[in-house]
Amino acid sequence: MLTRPLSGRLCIGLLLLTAAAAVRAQTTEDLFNEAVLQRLEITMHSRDWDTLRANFTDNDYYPADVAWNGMRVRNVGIRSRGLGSRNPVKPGLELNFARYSSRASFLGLRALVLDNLTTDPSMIRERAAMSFLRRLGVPAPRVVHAEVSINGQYAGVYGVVEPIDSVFLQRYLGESAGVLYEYHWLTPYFATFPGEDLDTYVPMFEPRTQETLSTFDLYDPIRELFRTINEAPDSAFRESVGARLDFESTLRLIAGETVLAELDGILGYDGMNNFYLYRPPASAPARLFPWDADHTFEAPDYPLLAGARENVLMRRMLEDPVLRARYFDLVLEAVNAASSDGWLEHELTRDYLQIREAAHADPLKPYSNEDFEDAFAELMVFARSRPDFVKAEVEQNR
Amino acid sequence: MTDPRASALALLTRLAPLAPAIGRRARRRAAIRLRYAAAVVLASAMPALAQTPAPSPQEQDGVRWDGNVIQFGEAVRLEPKARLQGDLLLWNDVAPVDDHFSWGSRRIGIGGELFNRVEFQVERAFQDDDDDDTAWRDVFVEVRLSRAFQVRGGRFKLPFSLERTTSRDELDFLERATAVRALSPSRDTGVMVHGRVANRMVEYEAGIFRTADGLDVVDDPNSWSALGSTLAGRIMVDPIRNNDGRTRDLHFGVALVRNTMPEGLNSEVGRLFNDDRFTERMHVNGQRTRLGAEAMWRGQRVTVKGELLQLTDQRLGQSIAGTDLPDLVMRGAYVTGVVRVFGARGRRGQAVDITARFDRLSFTSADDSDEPFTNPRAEHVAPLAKNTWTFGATWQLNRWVRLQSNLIRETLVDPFDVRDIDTQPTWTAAMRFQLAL
Repeated sequence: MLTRPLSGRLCIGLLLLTAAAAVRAQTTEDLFNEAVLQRLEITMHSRDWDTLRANFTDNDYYPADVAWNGMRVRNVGIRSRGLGSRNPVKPGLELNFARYSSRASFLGLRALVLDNLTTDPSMIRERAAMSFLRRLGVPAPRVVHAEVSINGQYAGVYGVVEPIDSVFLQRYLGESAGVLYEYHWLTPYFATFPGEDLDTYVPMFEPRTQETLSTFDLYDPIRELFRTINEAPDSAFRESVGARLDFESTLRLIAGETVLAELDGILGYDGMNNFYLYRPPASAPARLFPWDADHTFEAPDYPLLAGARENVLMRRMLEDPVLRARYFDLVLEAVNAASSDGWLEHELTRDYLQIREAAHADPLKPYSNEDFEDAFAELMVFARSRPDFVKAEVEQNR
Repeated sequence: MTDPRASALALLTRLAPLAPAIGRRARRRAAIRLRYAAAVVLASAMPALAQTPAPSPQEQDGVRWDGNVIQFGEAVRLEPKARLQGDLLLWNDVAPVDDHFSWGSRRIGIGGELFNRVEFQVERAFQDDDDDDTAWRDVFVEVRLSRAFQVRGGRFKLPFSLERTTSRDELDFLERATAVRALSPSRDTGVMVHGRVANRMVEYEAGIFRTADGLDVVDDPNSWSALGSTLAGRIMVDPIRNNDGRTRDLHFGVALVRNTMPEGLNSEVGRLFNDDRFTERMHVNGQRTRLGAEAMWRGQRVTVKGELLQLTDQRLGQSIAGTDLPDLVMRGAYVTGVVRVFGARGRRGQAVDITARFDRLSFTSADDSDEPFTNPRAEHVAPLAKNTWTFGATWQLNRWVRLQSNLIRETLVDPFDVRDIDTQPTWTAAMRFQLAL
């Protein structure tokens, strides 16, 4: 008999439907589920993997297949990434799902970052910091940990980071029609006026959306923003700059980074760093988004106003009584968010326990297991003592 | 009345000393002015050249000089060669034209014949003008044992493609068709036998060559020994062949070239008129096979010709997982029409031709059952094609000088819409001045 029995075909059909439903059920919520240590398997041609590691300072893409949670994403573009964290042994990676087909995506994402965590012996700073900023209401990338294997070999623990792109903008702001810029650190820059020449702004602010706009359309608004920050009279500062930059979200982000003792952020020790700038359509005020928080938790007694004097934007915001008062309110709000119910301690402990075994087994991390344990212990000290220090600093400075 | 040549020379003399003292932009402007001035000098000389009757052979002490051929008795003939092409880009609607002028080709060389049996040619380029990998162009010796059997050794074009084997200074357009540029091999070092048989109706060419194929792997002896040689063959049939100007010429040909490609990003690529790549480099490994078919019909004033070309590359062990991939396939074709609106048939006298060509180059993999991607290890390489219309006019002022202008319309076709490319047609206009011996 050539045809299968009807019941058999029904069973097969039901099984296929169930399997399909299971696949469809996967979303970014599953991928960024903080309760789970994710597992990613990457398959690349062995020559490509060797070439990527040999040329780890280049940004060349190589094709790869990526498997996660029963799903297999094919023809993904993969490249080495990072600045100080670039590493030939345990390369930081960018997975670009749309690299080889503009129609391709993974769970709606066009890209993912695999942070190699080589600059953070605790391996959990980035994730805890971004989680804390989101708790404050700051649009910040979602981060989870994953055990990553490449061509069947365990390659260690990575941070899976949601990229800041048009998908991110849609998710947090409900639109992505404006221009998103990634700030690139070139020299110590403290929000001074870079000058009239638009070419000066090009290497500093790389467009990540609307890349085909003219140089004038891309950079004239940036030039005018920093001109206004620097040249607006004190009496008109709040009104003039406020028309170009959203003070509330900017102060909230800086307050969060301050509580986290961010060494390399908006008020970084060597100038502004690690942020994206988004200029929404219809001349709405610009917003800043945080990026790369692996230098947070610098020290429990990291000064509240570190970098505030050097940075023109922050200095002038603090000179405005309304903005100053709002900033200190937001710092206290952030401190409370970190300390209430031991939230930060709990967060750090959960992340540590989740990755501890995998981190110990990580063969490519550039530090020892003792370093990992010590770094976590330091974070716990930070979480317990930082709130009181910040509160005291607020009292002293407001 | 002022002589325009004298005026242009005076301008040249005035501008030349200024060059070191002025800025970069100004120097560029001055250089362009110098080139225009040179063009004016040459152009103004053309009517004079054109009006000069064909030089009669001169003879002195057994040495005859006829045009650019020097004959030493009956035993030795020498033919100095030189070519100078200056290109002027008039319009490109993709990017603003920054520098209008460029050298299309600058070559010198010498050819000749010894004792009616041995021919030779040595040619060197001072401009990368022919998709070649060294400055040496044709460097070969040929022994003519009979009309049916001649042997050539050295460096020269492989026997493939009607348009590729046509000298650059005799092309109907500024550039060869996209498909010809992409799919036909460049020069190589080797040995070839060729000849005409069957009352000159059938011509054959068969050769064996080093596997250069534009690859820069000559320093790796292991690669060469592993790759082996390139085999090339071409058979042409001219069933109607008469040069009396009243009857018609007909020509057909087929060709095959086969070689082995080393593992790597070594696929051929398609290029736009401005030389930018529009196809991705793909990983290949294994046999490369080129097939070609050509046809031409030449009437009293009308010439129609065309070619079909295909290149397939094996991709052994090139998938992401290291397994074999379906062959990479590039296909191309063109049809050219030439109408002689002024002048006699032939290539050397005064003439004006109006030309038009349609050509297409497409790129994909042999198996299209999978989802298409552009990555260099894709199982189904997302198809991409370029359609090009070229319209032109060629004014052959005399045997040495000609002016050519082309209007080019290029359109990229991405049927699955998986690339971030502009599929709107783009237009380019360009002119060429050529002086060739």
